[in-house]
Amino acid sequence: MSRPRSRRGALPARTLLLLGGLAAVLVGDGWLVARVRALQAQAHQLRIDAFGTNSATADAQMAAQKARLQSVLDRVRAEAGADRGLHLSIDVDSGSATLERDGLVLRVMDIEIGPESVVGTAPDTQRLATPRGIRAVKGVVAKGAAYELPAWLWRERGLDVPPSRTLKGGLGLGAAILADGTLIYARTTEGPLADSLYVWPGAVRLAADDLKAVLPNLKPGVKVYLF
Amino acid sequence: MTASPTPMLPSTPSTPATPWSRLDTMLSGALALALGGLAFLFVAVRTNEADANAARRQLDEARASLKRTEVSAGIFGDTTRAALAASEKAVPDTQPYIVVSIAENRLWYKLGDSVLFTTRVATGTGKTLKKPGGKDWKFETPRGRLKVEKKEVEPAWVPPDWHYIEMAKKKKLRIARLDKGQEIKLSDGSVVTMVGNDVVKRLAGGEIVPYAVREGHEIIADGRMVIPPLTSNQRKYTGVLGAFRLYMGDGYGIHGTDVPTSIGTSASHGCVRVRNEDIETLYQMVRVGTPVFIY
Repeated sequence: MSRPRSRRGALPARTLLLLGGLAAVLVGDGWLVARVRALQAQAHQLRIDAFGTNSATADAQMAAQKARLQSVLDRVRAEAGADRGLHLSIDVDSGSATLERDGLVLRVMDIEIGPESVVGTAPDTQRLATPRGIRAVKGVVAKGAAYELPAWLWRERGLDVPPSRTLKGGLGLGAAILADGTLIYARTTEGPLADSLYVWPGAVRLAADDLKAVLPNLKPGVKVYLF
Repeated sequence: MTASPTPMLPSTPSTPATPWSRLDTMLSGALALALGGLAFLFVAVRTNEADANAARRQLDEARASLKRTEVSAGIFGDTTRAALAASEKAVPDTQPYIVVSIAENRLWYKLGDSVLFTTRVATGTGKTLKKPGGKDWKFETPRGRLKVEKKEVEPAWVPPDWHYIEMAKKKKLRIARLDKGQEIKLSDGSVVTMVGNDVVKRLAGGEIVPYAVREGHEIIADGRMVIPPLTSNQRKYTGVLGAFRLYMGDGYGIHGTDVPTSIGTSASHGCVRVRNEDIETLYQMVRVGTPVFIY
């Protein structure tokens, strides 16, 4: 029992110093390890939060973009509602059109909008998008008038392009052409537009009776609201 | 050669390795390792602090971006849409109105989106008639906005000039216009003239015979179709327009007919014809001032 006491008692100062230093450094090491772990956990959590916030931002941006588009469309719709003159309002998403005047509905029509499409043969291609916004009638093609149809109308459907694409009554009952080139027409009885399942990309197709009723009213300058 | 003897080096007095010195050596090594670890961990802490700060900045930026986006979304949000929707509703929808489709020969009496009454009609033929020395008459129902200016019971039709010209053309006759105070001398010595509001034939003997007219049976004198003065009784046909008329001005009206088979076709000279029972219904429902939209 007296031996350890004698050994301890004999610990040289240098050894004691080393032991003390070692202990202190180990404590420091331990604290630093704990600190590193805490920082790592904190950074990890912050990154998780940032990721969540970024996701929320992306969702909010999508929502804002949608809201902005909807707002633009709402403005077009509101302008259509405020327009006292004779005009055509076309609800692209619900597939309906109304002939309106003085804020009153004169005629409600079901419509079809041609799908968005890139037509033509490269490099001479053209993107025909769904029309939206405020347009005006630029011209009217009379019933039975000769009209040059684009070659892609045949090609798109795998048909042979005829030597002459200018067909008498190519647009059937006639059509209204808006300032941006958007066509308002009805299905023809012959030619490439006679197919009930095919709607001219980016164009508005009415039923024949509807076109017959509204076309005489769609004079150049008449506004068409697409929303 | 003789090998020189290796000189004997004086031996260093070796300190005997004490347990403390071995322990010191171990402790020194451990201390060195611990110090190395300390340095390494210190660097690790600084690195992780920088990393955590970067993550915090990312989070702050993400939160700021989210806030900006939400503000931006709010601008186009429900408030804006509600305001726009309210502006849409500024149009009154309590006023009934009449809509006529020329292409379909149909009339609707509407209130907002509701159809209160609908029926088939006859509208203008779209034909033209040559006007003597002037423009042509075009028998079209006018497109646009009109309104019911007055409601009439048992309306009399005052045939416009084109009626006589049309009838004369049909019967291959010439035209003779009779103005108030004038006479049309006939070959038998009699004259067509006005007495009061009547167009009469005054015979050579002085006897006066008023003309009785109806649609299709106009005054014909010496192969000429006589156009009576506008105010004369012979220029008023009863029963032609049915029992009621909603007058829209400029000579146009919505009225009944004595030719019910014409309903549903383009048969009129520009007026909107309906069946007599329908004009009675409309007469009861429609108020003066009701807008009429013809397209």
